[in-house]
Amino acid sequence: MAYELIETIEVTNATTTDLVFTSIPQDGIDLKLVVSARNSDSAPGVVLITLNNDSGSNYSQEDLEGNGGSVSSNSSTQGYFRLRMTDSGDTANTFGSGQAYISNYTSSSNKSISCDRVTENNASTAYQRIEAVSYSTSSAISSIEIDFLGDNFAQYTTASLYKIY
Amino acid sequence: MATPTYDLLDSTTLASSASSVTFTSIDQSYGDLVVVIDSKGTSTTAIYSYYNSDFTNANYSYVNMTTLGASPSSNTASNPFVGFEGSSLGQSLSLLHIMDYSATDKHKSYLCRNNLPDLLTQAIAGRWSNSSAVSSVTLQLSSGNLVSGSTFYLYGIAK
Repeated sequence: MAYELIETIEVTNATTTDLVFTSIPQDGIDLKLVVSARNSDSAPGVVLITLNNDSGSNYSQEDLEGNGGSVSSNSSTQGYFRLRMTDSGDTANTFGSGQAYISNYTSSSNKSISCDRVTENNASTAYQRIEAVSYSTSSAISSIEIDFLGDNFAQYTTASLYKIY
Repeated sequence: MATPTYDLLDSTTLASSASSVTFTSIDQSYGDLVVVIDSKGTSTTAIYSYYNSDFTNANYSYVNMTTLGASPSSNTASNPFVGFEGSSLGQSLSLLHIMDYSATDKHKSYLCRNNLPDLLTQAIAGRWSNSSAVSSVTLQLSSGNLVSGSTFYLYGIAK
């Protein structure tokens, strides 16, 4: 079997502001992060993700997004990469879905990441985005931090990390 | 012990530059194939995925949505396009999923996410107009070479 669950974090109450995977095993080839999340406090529900607790401007990104009415693209370099999730103003009991595939996470080269995510909302506006990310580092990935910038994750939010080898 | 459902079938890490990488004698007992390509080319160029040594572009077609260019766009053409490689633009990451590769009653479809962070991100859907089971996959650049250190992993997903 080349696809193994490392850990699942489930939010059990609405007072959790970040989800963190630490001590990631270093015997895999790639990592896959799968998130089902909702912001319980406000909008927009943008989840910020950092690797190895690095919030420096080391994440260059290219994205393509549709919102049900138009399409746009954007390039940037940030101190994180993002998965936009469902927020407190969206249809109740719905959660956004997102995944990030991190290639060759133990190598000494920059890390290439493929992201897909979608918000869920019973309305004319919902967001779907695909994104290319390059994380400038020579270090292996040993931790992943997922943050709503101080807002709380809704109860039943989950984040699962898989090792592919 | 859990039943294996996602298995590494083969892998290649280039020790020197090469214009193509081929996986042969692919195990036919799985449902889908996944190819993970983390690579760089000697020039910014397209990468194609040919099956069973069928190098006739007219036997393939694709449609994509991409950020390449001044504004987002969608394209279609007759070739087995799975993304772009860049030389000065960093690593390209492509996640290629070939559905029902061992079936003999349908043309073969693939979905691919291609990422080159300093240039583009795109989603590609393609078809090989052949009902043969896929026994080999050749990843080939339209020009130039893949550089040393590029990695290619082939996985089988159980039926």
